[in-house]
Amino acid sequence: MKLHSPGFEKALRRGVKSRIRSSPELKREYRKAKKAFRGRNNFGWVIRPVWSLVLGLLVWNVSKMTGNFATGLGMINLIMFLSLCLFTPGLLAMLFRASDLPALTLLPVSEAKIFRWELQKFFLNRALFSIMDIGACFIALAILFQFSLAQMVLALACAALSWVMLLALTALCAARLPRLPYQIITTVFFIFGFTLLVGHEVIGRAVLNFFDAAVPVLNLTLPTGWAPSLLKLFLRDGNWLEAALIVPMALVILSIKNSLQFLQSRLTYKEHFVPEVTDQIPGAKADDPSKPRVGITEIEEIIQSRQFLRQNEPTGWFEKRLWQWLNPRERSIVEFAFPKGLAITKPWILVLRNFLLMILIGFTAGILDLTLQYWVFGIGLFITLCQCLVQIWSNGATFRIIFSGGVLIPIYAAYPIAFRELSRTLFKLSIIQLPMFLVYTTASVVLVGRYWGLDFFDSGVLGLKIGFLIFATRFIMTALAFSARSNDTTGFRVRPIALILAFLILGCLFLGLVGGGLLVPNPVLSWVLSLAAVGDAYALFSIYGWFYNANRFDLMSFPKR
Amino acid sequence: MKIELRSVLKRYRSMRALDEVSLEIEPGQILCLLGPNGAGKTTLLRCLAGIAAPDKGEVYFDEQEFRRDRLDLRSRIYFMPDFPFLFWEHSIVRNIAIILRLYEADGAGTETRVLELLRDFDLLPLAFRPVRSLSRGQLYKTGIVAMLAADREVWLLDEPFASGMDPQGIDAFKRHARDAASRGRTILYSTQILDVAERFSGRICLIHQGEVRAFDTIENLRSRANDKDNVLEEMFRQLREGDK
Repeated sequence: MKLHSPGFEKALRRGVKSRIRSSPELKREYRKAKKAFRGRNNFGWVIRPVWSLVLGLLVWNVSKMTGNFATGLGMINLIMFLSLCLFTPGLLAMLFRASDLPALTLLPVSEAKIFRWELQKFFLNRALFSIMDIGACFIALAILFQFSLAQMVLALACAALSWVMLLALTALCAARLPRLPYQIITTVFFIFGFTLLVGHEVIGRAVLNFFDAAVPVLNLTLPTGWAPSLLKLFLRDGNWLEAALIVPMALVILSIKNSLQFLQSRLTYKEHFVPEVTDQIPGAKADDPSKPRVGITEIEEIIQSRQFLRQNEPTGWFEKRLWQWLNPRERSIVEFAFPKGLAITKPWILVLRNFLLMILIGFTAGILDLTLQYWVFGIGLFITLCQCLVQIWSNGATFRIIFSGGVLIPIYAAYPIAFRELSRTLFKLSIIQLPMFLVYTTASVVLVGRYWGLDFFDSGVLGLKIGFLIFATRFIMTALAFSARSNDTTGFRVRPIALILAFLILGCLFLGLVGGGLLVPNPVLSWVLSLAAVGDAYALFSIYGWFYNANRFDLMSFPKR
Repeated sequence: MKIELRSVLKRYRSMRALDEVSLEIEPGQILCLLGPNGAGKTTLLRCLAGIAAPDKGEVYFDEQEFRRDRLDLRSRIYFMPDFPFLFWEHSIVRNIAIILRLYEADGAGTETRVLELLRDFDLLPLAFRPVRSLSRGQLYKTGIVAMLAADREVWLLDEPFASGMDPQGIDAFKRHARDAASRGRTILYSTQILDVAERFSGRICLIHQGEVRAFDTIENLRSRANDKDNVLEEMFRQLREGDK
């Protein structure tokens, strides 16, 4: 699909070329522009097939180690699930936040055409290549299990079906479940994958055994596992009951049209108009509709009385403790970072509620089926851990980016806020929540420890240690929050390379020390290693701070093309 | 506050946005940064604000080298981008209060100053209105009021005359800027409007392809120009001819 006339484009190209040929000045300009363009080579075409190959090797390796064909399918299922979590926000971003949307909506182009254009961009840039990933995984399985030619053809058909299923699920999730925490799931996946890569010698076998045992349930519960599971039908030990999966699969695939129609209906361009707003009077209840406007005299009186300069005192218990701990400068930073007010007590009450609910549902489910109990606890702990991490790593609006003069600048960079004072304030915010977080991790590990055969005391100590170690990531996450909004790692120069190396070395060391701290049986040594991990995280943060303070990079980044 | 740039080089990939720029700006001036699009004006302002980091060279404020950890220096500068960095969900006065506290400029007498400024910029009836409901010009005026209330020693403004402010707002801004310059404040702003640059600024800095091509007072530039009535237009014409 093209939004313009190909004939016009051809004529324009021809015209431009003839003008360039006729003028030496334009020729010079053309060569200069071409050189600059050559500098922005897109290596995606080379990297993409290599990535597919890596995924194929991963499936090969996992299947070979377990000797189980279903585990290989489970691995494909996980890869597809991860792709789904990456594609869904990608599709939503492409359809509703693409950089060319504002321009396109102003042109005489129909909304249906704009929708198709953005959809096509998503398909060509992202979705199309995933068929290579899925294909490579299936081929790896086929070679490992010495498929016959007919089985090989069936495997490729299955790969194609899996790919269609992935696209259908992406459309379905984007249309009906746009608010699921896709980015958090992806982040957890990558962190877990990286941990596994570094610590595979220690935890690899245990994780693989667990995965091997969980595969039958996983392939049935995750819709991304349905299409790969069909391949088992054509093997000797295939269970024809799995053919029933064709029904939900057909429903998902048939839903594509409906999902796309739903998404298209949301793209309707509406002229932006600001609704009637109420005045925000200092000290009064926000947006009180009974008093939409304040008179000039009252405004003058409120300003003269300095009411607007008074800081809003927090109301929650933890918020009040934090407020007492902060100095006036840090209070100003908190006010800047959290202009809507601090939220500590309420979110932790929510975590506690969800944790208790999980225990109640989990033990009730355990009466029916023990596997069901595992799943309830697994999902419950994942959700509550995400909620805790949101609290512990919270940065408020500090790093919100604003588009200004063609670049993206974090809001704090426009104001006199130093790296150290901002970080210190954010750390204080996290430290005040540490007791609750430690209680959470201890309780969680005691719960999980029951199934690992750990006694109460050992589980408690381990939970405490895990809590401290997760808390230490606050240093790393703060450095990453600064880094995400700068251009510190772009370009091949000494400084970015040194910074990336520091991040990689200290990051890997951190994981190693965490692994040692958790797995070394000697209690003294394990605490020493855990403390060293905290020190390592702090060192990483300090090194980043040095680069930051020494003006080694810009506090802005260029928007993606 | 004296500002000094010593051989500042700033690259964006292969392009030199600032090419070994050296400048000395004495306090109490209104300095206009002029130049074609992409000349390096905004980059220069960003380097002074600590947002962009020079690849080479240094920035000095009052003979002291500027680094990002020099909060004492940074808090004497106010940077006003082409689009003010505000909290959209909060009212004008709440935004001003947050900014003033960051600059530690919320002491006694602030309320009277804020009130006067809101009146000057016709923002008083909108003082408690959330910023998201304001027009482009009103948004910019909010940023300007916060800047004037903070009253820093150096003002860095990116294209203030292309901000959508109404004539009343522009007039108020000019008045306050002239008054501030007479009190020793240094005002650096970029613009493409030559008439404004010629009448409003004490000194002109013409930048082209990252290089400073002219840095002088309007009077001196005029004395050297052939077309005395259109000094800046003539300089731009010469730049274009030089390119050809």
